[in-house]
Formats: sequence, structure tokens, C-alpha cells
Amino acid sequence: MNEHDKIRELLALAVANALTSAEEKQVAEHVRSCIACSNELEAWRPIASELRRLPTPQPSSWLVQATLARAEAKFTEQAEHDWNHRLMIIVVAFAWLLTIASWAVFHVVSGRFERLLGPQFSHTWISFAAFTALEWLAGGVAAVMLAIRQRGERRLA
Amino acid sequence: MAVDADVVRLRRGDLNALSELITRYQNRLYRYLLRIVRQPAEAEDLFQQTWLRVVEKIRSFDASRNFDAWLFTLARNLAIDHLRRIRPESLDEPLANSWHSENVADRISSKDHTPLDHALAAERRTEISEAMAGLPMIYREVLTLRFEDEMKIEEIAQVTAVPVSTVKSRLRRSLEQLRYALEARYPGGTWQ
Amino acid sequence: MSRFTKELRVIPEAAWIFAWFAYSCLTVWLFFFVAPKDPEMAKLPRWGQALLVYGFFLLMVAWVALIGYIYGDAKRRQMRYVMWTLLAIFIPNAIGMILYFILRDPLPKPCPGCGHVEKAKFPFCPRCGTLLQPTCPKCDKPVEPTWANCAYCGQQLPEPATRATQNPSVAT
Repeated sequence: MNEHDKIRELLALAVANALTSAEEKQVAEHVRSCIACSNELEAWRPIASELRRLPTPQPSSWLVQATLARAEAKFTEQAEHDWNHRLMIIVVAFAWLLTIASWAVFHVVSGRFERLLGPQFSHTWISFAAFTALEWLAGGVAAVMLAIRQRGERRLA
Repeated sequence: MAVDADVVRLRRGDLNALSELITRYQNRLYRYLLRIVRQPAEAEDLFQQTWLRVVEKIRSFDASRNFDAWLFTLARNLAIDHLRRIRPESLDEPLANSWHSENVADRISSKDHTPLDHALAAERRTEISEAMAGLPMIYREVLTLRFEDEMKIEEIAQVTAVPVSTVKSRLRRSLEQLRYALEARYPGGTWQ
Repeated sequence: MSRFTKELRVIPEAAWIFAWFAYSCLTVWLFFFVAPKDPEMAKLPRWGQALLVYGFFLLMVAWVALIGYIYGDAKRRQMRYVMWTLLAIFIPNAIGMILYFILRDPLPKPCPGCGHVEKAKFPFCPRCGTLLQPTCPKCDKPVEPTWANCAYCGQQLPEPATRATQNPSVAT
């Protein structure tokens, strides 16, 4: 009785070809001697075969074209997005390099004009910080003005 | 595998590869989505959304992985999200109307057994389709992937995000429920 | 050809010529004439000085190349390229450049009717009136191919492959 139940459980999976080779052997052996289970197995077969032969539902004829059009647009959009992203990282890194380089330039230039600025001033961190802050401030003001102007233009369009 | 070559080309930015991939998978993907959502219009919409998602994520897809499983997983997630929003109850319960446009009355009248083999076969197919449409979603899904798509059990496990043993038990239970539904609906017919 | 090399072609020849010319002059002058005499530079070994001088001024070449790129790119996007180039030069620490890349217009496509290139955001060609991009059937605003509904008025849009690119108002 116990074996019957076990085999019964495997029969459905048998027609789905989802058994391990050990399990398949088990089922094949048992079915050879047991009529009831053999009939059960045969009862499963038409279900499996009909499932396999179900007609493939057809989508509308324009589905592939429409999907392609949308996907291509998205693809180029995505490529642009990725490129801009990479570009921004490079430009920002470059901006930082320039900032650091500007310290060196400031150091050199102020070194030449020591008499005007006073030696302590030209070499301290404070002077670097002040110089950088001034640069960024000027840049920031320009940025804000530009952004406002741009947004104004976009709204008119 | 030829499919992988297309995927590699797509990752590099070749748009022709996209066209080939969509064409190659059109029937399989549509059929899978249709079995899940059971409405052709929704399945078509989800088909498009799946490919948009593919385009979005193809760059982070490792080409050595199985593209089939990944594609179907994306489709599955979109379909489930869609159902959760539109018809959450349909995720578990059978749909009132199957996706066949056949009239129920027509069905009953055509049960006079015709002697023609192909008419009988077509009838059996319709009966099975309708019975399958009445099963819960996870059962429909595993049946279509295994029998219609002939996907390997391991792949089905990847797509449905469950272990192989769960796939097998779902497969078994889905077949049992299908058979039970068939025998209940068409007693004394060809399914006994 | 990779995207990067494609974009490099936007930089006008003049920019490259100027950059490398200035690079050669400045590095030669600094390395051979200034560095040996400068108290701080002389502390470094000769190869250190070479690295410093030649490496540092590569930054300058990159800077000039970027300026050139902004000039060429703003021009092909139908933006005010003189203004943007000056801003990129004079706003310090490349903030002007960052701003440019954030705020730049999309690339325009040539009109299929007359070949004229105008700003990308215009839905109609100002020379011949051809419709340049699909528009919403209800509110006539330009729509993206990935949209299913118009983002301005909500109208459901037909499939992208069948969207109207026929000009409704061309005089025949």
C-alpha cells in the first residue's frame, strides 16, 4: 500500500518528465507489475500530451513593430542618459583637479608677489581657502544667474 | 547559443540585435503573459513593458547568465505587479470568464460526440484550455512553462524564484487539480 | 567607433592646434628655463620636474579641448555658442562647463522635408512647415515614443509605429 501511494505521487510528474532517473526506474518497474497504477499512468498521458499541443496564442500582428519602436526609443534615450552620466563624472573630477591645480598656481603667483601680500599670507591655508572660496562664489553666482535665465527661456517655449 | 550572441550585441549597443530578440521571443513571451493575466490586451501591453524593462536593465545583465530565465522573470514581476494593482483577487482565484471567446451555450451543444478525430482533439484542447484558465495563477504558470514552453525545472525555479522541490510539487498539484477540474466538468468524457 | 571618439570630433581643429602649441611652448619654457632657477622646483629631481611640468600642463590641454568641445557642441545644438564658450572659459574651476552639460539642449535632427536644422524642441520646421516629431492628436504638443498617453492632456496615444508624422497643414 505504501509503495502504491508513493508511486501514485510520482505518476503526474512522470508525464511531465520531471522525475530523476532513479524515480523513473522505480515507476517503470512498479508499473510493469501493477495494473492499477499502469492505468493511472495512461490516464495522465492525454492530459500531458494535450497540454504540450495547445495552440500557441497569436498576438496582434503589429505587436512586434510597436514594441520595437518603443524599445528603440528607450534604448537611445538610455544610451544618452548613460553617456551624460559618465560625462558629468569626468567633468566634475576635472573641476576638482582644476581647483587643486589653482592652489598650486596661486602658490606660485603669490610667491612672486610676496611683497604685496606679505609672506605669511601667501603661503597659509587660509589664503588658499579664501582664494578657492572666492572662485566658487563667483562661479556659484554665475551658475544661479544662468539657471534662472534658462528656466525663464524654457517656460516661454 | 545564438541567443547569447544577440544579447552580447545588444549590450554593446546594436539595435538590430534588439529587433531580432523581440521577434525571436514574441510567441513564447506573449503566451506566458497571456496565461498569467488571461486578457490579450493586457498581455500585449505587458509584453511591451517587459521589453522596455529589458532595455533599461540590459547593461547590468551579465551575458553569461541565462537570458531566457531573466526575461521571463522580468515579465513575471511586471505581470504580478499589474495584477496586484488591477485585479488582486485574480492572483489566487479562478477568473469568471476564461479568455476564450467561445459561448458557454455553444460548448454544451457541441458535446454531442462527433466521430471526427480532429474535432474531438480540438474539443479536448478547448476543454483543457478552459480548465487551465480556472486554476490559480501559480499553477497555470508552472503548467505553461513546463508543457507549452518546455522549460527545464531548474529554469522554472529561477523564473518563479522558488526552490526546485517547490516547482515539482506545484507541478504535481497543478496537474492533479487540472485533472480533477476536467473530470468534474466533463464527467464520463475523455478524461476519465 | 566608440561614443567617446565620436564626440571628440566635435572639438574644432583650431582648439587642438592651439592647445598643443601652447603646451609645447609653455612646457619647454618652464622645464628648460624656469625650473632650474626656481628655488622650490630645484628641490625635485629632474624627472620629478619633468613629471610636474609635463603632467600639469596636460590639464591645460584638457581644459582647452573641453572649451573647444563646448564651442562645437553648443553650435551643433543651435545654442548661443559664443556665450557658452565664454562662460566655460571665465567661470572658474570648470563650473561653467558643468553648467553647460547640465543645461544643454538636445541634439536637433535635420528636417526630412528641407534638411534645415533648427532647435530640437520645435515640433515644426520653421522653413517648410514639415512636422518634425509626432504630436498629440488632441493638444498638438510633441510626444515621446515611449509614452502611452499624452503627458500634457492625458489623451491616449496610438502605437508609436503608426503615430502621425503626416503634416496636417502642408499646402499641397
